[in-house]
Amino acid sequence: MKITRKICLLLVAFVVSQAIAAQSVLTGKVEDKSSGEPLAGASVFVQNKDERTLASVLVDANGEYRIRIPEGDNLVIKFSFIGMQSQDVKYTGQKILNVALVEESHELETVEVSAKRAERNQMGLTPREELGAVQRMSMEGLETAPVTSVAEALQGALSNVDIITGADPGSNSTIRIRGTQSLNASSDPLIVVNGVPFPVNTDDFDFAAASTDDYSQLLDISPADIESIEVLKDAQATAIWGSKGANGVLVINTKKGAKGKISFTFSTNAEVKKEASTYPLLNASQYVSLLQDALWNSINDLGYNNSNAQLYMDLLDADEINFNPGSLLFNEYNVDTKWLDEVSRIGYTIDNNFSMSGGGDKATYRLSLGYLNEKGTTKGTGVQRFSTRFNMNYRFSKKLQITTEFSLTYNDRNSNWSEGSIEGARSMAMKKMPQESPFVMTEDGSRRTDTYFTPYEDFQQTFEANNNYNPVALVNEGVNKLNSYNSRLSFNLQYQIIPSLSYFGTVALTADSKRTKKFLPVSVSGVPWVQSANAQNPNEWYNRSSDASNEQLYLYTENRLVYNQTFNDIHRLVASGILQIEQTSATSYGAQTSGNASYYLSDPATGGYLVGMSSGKSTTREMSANVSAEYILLDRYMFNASFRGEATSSLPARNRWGKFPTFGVGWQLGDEEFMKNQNVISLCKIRLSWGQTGKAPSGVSPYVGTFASDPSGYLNMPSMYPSAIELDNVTYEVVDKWNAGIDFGILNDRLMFTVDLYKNVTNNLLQKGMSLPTSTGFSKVAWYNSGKMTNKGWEFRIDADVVKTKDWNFFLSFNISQNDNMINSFPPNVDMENYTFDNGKYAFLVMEGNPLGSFYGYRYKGVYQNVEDTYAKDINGKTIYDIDGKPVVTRINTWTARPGDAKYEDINGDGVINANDIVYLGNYSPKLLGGIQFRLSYKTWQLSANFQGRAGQKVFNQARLNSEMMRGKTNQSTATLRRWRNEGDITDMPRALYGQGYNSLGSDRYIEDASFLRMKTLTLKYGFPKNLLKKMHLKGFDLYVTAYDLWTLTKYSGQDPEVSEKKQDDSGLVRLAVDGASTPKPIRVKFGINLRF
Amino acid sequence: MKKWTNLLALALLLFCFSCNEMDKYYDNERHSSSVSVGNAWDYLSSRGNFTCFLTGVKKAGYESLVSGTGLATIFAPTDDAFRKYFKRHGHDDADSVTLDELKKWVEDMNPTELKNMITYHLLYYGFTSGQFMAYNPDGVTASQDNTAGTYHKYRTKSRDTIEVVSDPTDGLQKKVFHAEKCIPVFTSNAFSRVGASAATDYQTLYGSFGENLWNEAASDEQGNYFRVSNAAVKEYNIITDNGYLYILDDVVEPLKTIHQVLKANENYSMFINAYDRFADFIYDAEISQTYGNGGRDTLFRFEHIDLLNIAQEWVTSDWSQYNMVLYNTVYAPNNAIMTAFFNDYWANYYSSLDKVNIKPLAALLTDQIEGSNISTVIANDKEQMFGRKPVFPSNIQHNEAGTFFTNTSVGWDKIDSSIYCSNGILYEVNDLVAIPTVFSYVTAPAFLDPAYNMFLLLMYKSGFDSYTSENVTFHAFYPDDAIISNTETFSGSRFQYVKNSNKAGDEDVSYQEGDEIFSVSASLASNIVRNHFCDNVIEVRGGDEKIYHTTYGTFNYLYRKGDKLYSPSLYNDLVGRLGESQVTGENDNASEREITCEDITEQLPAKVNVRNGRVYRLSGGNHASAFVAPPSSELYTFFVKNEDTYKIDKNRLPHELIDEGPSEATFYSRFIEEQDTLAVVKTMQEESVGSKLPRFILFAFTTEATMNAIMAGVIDDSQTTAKIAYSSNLYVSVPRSRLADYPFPNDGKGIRELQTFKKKTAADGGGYTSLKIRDDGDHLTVIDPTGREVRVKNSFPYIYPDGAIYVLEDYLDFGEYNTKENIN
Repeated sequence: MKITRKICLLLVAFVVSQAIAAQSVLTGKVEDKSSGEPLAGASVFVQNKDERTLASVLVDANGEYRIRIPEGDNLVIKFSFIGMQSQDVKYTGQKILNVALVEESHELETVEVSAKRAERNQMGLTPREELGAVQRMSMEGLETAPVTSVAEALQGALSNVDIITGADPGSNSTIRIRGTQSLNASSDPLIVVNGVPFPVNTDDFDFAAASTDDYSQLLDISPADIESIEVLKDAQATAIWGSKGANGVLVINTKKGAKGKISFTFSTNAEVKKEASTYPLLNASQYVSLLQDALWNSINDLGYNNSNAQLYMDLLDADEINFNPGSLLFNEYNVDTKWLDEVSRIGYTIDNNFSMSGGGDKATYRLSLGYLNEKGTTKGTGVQRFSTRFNMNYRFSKKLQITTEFSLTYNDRNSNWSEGSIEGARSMAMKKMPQESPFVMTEDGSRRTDTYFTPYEDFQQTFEANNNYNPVALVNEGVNKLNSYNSRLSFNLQYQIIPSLSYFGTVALTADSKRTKKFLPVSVSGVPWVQSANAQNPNEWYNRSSDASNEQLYLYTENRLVYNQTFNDIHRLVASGILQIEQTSATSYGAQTSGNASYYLSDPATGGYLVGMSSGKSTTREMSANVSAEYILLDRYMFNASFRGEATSSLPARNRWGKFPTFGVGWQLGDEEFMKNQNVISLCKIRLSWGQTGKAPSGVSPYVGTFASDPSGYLNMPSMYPSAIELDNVTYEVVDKWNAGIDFGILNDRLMFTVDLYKNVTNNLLQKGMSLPTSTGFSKVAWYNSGKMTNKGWEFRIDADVVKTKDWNFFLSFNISQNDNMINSFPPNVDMENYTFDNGKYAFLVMEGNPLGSFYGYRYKGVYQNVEDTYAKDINGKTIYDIDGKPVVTRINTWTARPGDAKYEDINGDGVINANDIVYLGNYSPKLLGGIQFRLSYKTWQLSANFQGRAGQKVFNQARLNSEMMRGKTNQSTATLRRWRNEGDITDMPRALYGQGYNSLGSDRYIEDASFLRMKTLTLKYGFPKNLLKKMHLKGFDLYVTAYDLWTLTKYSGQDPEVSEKKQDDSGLVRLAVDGASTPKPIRVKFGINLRF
Repeated sequence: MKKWTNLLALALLLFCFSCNEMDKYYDNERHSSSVSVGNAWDYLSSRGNFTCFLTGVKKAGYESLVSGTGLATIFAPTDDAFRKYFKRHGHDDADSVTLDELKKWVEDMNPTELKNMITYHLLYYGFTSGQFMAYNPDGVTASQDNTAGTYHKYRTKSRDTIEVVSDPTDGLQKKVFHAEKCIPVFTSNAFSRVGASAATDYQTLYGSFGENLWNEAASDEQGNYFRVSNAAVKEYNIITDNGYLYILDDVVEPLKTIHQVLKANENYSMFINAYDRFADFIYDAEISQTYGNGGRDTLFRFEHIDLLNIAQEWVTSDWSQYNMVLYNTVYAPNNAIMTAFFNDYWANYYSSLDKVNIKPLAALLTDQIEGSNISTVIANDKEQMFGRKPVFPSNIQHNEAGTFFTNTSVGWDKIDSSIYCSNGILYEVNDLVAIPTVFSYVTAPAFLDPAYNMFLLLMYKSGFDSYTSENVTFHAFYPDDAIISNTETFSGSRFQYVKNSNKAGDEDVSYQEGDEIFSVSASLASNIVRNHFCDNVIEVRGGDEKIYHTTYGTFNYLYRKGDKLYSPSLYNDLVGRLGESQVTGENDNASEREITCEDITEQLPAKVNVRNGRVYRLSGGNHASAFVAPPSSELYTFFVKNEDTYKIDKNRLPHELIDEGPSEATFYSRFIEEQDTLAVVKTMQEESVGSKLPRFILFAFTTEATMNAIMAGVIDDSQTTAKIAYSSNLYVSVPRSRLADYPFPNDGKGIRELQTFKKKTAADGGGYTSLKIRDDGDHLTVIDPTGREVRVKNSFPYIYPDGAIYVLEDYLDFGEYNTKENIN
């Protein structure tokens, strides 16, 4: 043995020396095996054992090559050509080497490559080794079930990921993974794209307030570019993302280039959307009648000598609501305008994506270009987006490879003008009185002129007082233009130091730039240039324009070492150390002017009256270090521990470092010997984990005590005063997370189950803006740690390949989950918003032992039918009499109940409806969440559907309340046509009462069960069969049509049962699901083509 | 492309949302059942028998209102009702024609007339029959009280077109805007709550529509019974989608305003023409904006100033004060009555009724309108307006009605007929219901003779109720316009007429000071007028026949010698400044200033019977000013306030205290000029009310008496302090001496004690030094503390607004208080 070894060594030495001496040269021919043609342009490499290239040459037009062989042992000659399988030939000193390459199957390669990529997470663990609650969703269906945003793609597909998208273009959307875990710190998940966290500065970007448009901007990754999405739920899984990932993490991986012949894909789709009919509104006659009825009732109740009645009489006498021929504006106030129709249209979206990818053994690349053009269903809204994404991977050798990635997106978005609390054109259109014309009418009233009818003041008041404007003019003439660039550059380096130890380095840079220009012409607002004769300043709303810009730069670096070694096939250790540093800096500027001639002149430097200016600058930094180790015994028993230290610039130096450990154990039960004997269970894995994670307060250095200058000075001297208190003790709120899970695979994984049980306890809850006794000199403390909250629940998921034959395929996935929220303790000094007894108001309460989002209010009992009905009853139902023996009439606070008024249950039987009669009415948290995905295919036909369901949650239908209050001047729904008017009317709708009474107190009348099951998408796809494709020289050609939200099963009477929670007060303590939406989900149908060649 | 997408979306819409939960919620049929019969138009159409009404509604352009644009109460007359209507309006065959013919008649009606008639059946707002029965604008809870139901007129949609009227004030053609008219809905409450009777009064007012109209037996099941103007209700309280519907058995004849009714009747032309002289065209910017092409047309409201607004449809142009309703009542005299009155009273002074001045005319007219419920017609105050109740015939029978000007009870025997108008009730009378009392008291000349117009205007400003008292005998002295306008005020300006542009012939009296023109204030007018009415005559026996008149002004008097008359200021001027000799008329200047008076009581028209005194006509020169208090009465006061101190202006003192004898020996130079005479003011100020010093009497000495005092050593002439000490004794406090009038020689009624402003020491018992004054019949005698009797020299004292000066023939002796200094 020894001798032979020596001989070998000698031989090698000889050969090498000979090679040096001979400068050996290799020549040969490369040809296509199938056709025998020479392969001009093919590459010939000389590689060493690490696959590092030492020399290379291209094949000439005759298919011949000549290459000088450098020194070295174990050299390999590699022949490769795009679209052909590479061929390696061991170099043994040959002089001539002729090869013929074989064409490769592209599809197979892709699968292989993507399978490799998903193999290990950032801690170096394979899915098999992972102990955390992770759910993976392959996006193979995405191309064919197109969605405009990631959130949409995930809806219903992942268990206990509660995603609510709003219907309104500007309404709320929320993503909650395992419930709401914090009151004031963000409860939104972290999004990680290709290993780089998405820079979401929660101060600037509020998930809860973001619109779907904002989401798509945030994630302007074309769904076509997405390869997979993972959801990380428990502490174990999110350990490396620390506090940012405390609410769960969505990991998005985009498609990369793959080795092989250059491949092109082109997909285009066109979507048509039409607003679904909203709740029906009153027409002109009905509106006028209602208003007169309401005013008249109030006047009669109050009597003329009441000063309010006098005001109402003035209103009742207004020409706007009177059929008063001969009055000046009779024509303008006696039409029937469907305001909503005036501001809406059929919208469409055209989305084109083109990508090319390919590569050889050394380098792979992928380039994608996208162009999206969307016209919104509200006039004046639309987006154009150009996006490009390029990534390239270069393998220097087996040990070293580099990936760079660059993306650039340009957005040009037109929205309806909006500012502050001024409501949008749509909701204005729903409130606007229908008998008013948007345009000045001709003299004879027969048709419209092209002049907008925008009186300074009409029945619904002025722009300044009541934000009353002409929505038709707004959508056509108002300007709100956003131009934004988003560019992202990342650089990854991967180096295998020794086979068991690898280094990963990442540097990523994201730059965002936005510029907004707005213009509100006077044809919308109708305001005069000079407000009044003695006004000092011109009217700030006259031809108002604004100009704002925002820039943000996000820098992220990560250094990672992963050690992975198996000892004796029994012990295995996977360990990692990670260091992450990130910095976000942002600048902003904004100016508002009035009196501009056009929106092109919105820059304050061009003149006009300056209304306001602002600018800002901020920087935040975070740094974290993470070590983790997993020990695996016999490939079956897994033990994991990690520790993370994390610092953020939003906490004071003393508490800046947070320390978060996690532990996990796992058992691959299915791999035990006794389980291997049966063929039913193919996988059985039990996981247990515990970990801590934390959350830091938001904002830029919110702990710093600040001073402000007092502009009025003190004793003729400049003066300063402390304006915010220094917070040295603010720290992380800490979430303890337990998770127990089991994964089951049956019949060779054709049927997969996953069950998880979890409990998350949030301690030291961050309380925001807590009131202080003013004797401290401050009114509020910005952050304060106190309180405890628990979320616990379970998740169940099943994926089944029900049918799997040559022609038929049926896949079904079902998930269901439950989350229970409970407040365990709460700081006693929290100043909750005081309950004011008024219409539309619910009592805001957060009670220990109850979940967040509970509704408290009155019990609605219908309508008082007659005077006898209004007599107060005691608890026993006996009429209450006064001292004179006359029956006492029920009072609702100060209002004496009259026939037709709303009747509430008098809980304490004292004859007065007041705060003492408030009861618990329900809760917004759904009892169950779930989704079904279903895919049926026959040959190249495919039918797929996604269902989403939520059950047991209560929603405050504020839209309904507002549209049937019959208390003000806004237009109301046709439900008000059944209002009580005379004794004998049998209805639950009280009478109309302008500005008086309590017919719409916060009661169970508007708290509705919003359980629903909805078919989110339904897609029919046809792919041309292979033989046909071949003739067309194509690799793939699919046609599909998708319809959205086709079918909903619900008892909810609002437009859309998908309602997200919303902060109800400044402190953020009270979050309720309030349906204030005025837009139903549009009806959307999409047609698309995917082409691969 | 677009069409295609539209279609597709529509198809999807139908498929997906054909019946979801939201649609179910808004399906009202599922959730309620209403007692409403639907909209009025559909209901009436389906019932039939309303062809004429609906045709009319459509033609008038109100179809959309009847079918549901806004809250409305609709009175729908049946087709038979229209037959009645056409029969009244000259179609005798109305009962027999076909429905189509009837419909054609409706269509052929004059469009304006049709519109006014149809809209008169369409009411603003929704009224149930319960509300009609006991409507109370004060609210639901108040509806049980005893005023519920008095309100019986409701706003309709009927409005007269804009009318062009000539404004006599400026001769311009003006566009007059008419508000919407009211319709009366008579319930038994409407009558009984104001003490009237429904059955008889309704018959009286609407008798032309038949007999026994009021029939409460015809009430509905709930006991509702009311009549809508001339029509009876056949079906009550039909609930529609947007209000209430009542079926009428007759078409309601649109009512006219009282003004329109009178204008249309030639028999009343004199009355209404006289009435219209009070018309005022009031520009209304808001109405012009709304109804005058956006303000390009100038629109006016036509109102009557100082009288009931019988031309107005509503109290104000602002319907927000819906609780105010015009219930005017006018007792209109026909031309014969008016002519008779003119002949009896004014014929001597005016050529025709048109020429009669505004104020006398107002007096006559305001006594032909109802005033029982109002304190003042002109008041714009809401509460007062609300108090205006209708006066039904039985109210007059019960003597519950009274005219406005003199509140004379209206006798039922004077009423010939009655007409219910849209804005009140018009009674035609067979005689004037009242002749203003001012025509039969000492006020009469002012209302009869235009020569005294300026004085009458002043009387109107100051008020003249007191002079029509039966219990006081007056002597009234009337200055004609010449006297007043020739009067120079102290600052040299004159009174003059100023035209009041509001209405034709109305004037005001003003005066000019500097460049400014001032309207005469009520208090100034009152000062002037009062000085001409004397309520007490004090005769002086012996010598010349000298008469003192105490005027209605306090401490003011007129002196009469024969037919010559003096006011205090004239007397001061003539006697005080020029000397008594001038008064006799020997001086030429004096004659210019003389005022004579002539008793004209018997010269007035026969119908005028002055019941409470005598009336005189004044005549004289330019210096009648004496009778006219100056605009600023301060100017003539004795003391002139100069900042904080008081001074005496030498020029205002009577001649005999300054000029008689050697200048250094006069009262002025001894007691006023050299010393700080005003020391007494300090004491006076203790009694002053506000900034006004107490009224005083100064006993001044003739030059001779002054010298006597010095000679007698009563005062030490060399010491100013002594003179100051002494002079305080000479000022008597009128309030403290409890004088109602200055002392005048009268009937020798004895002695009065007068308290001076000289304080006594505590040792002497405190108080003030005192004097006695004795009425010796033809003169006065002052008795000083030492018992000396000193005669008052002049017949009349010199009187100033703040005090009087009596000149004594000898000095007064106050014993030790001659020299004791004032305690101040």
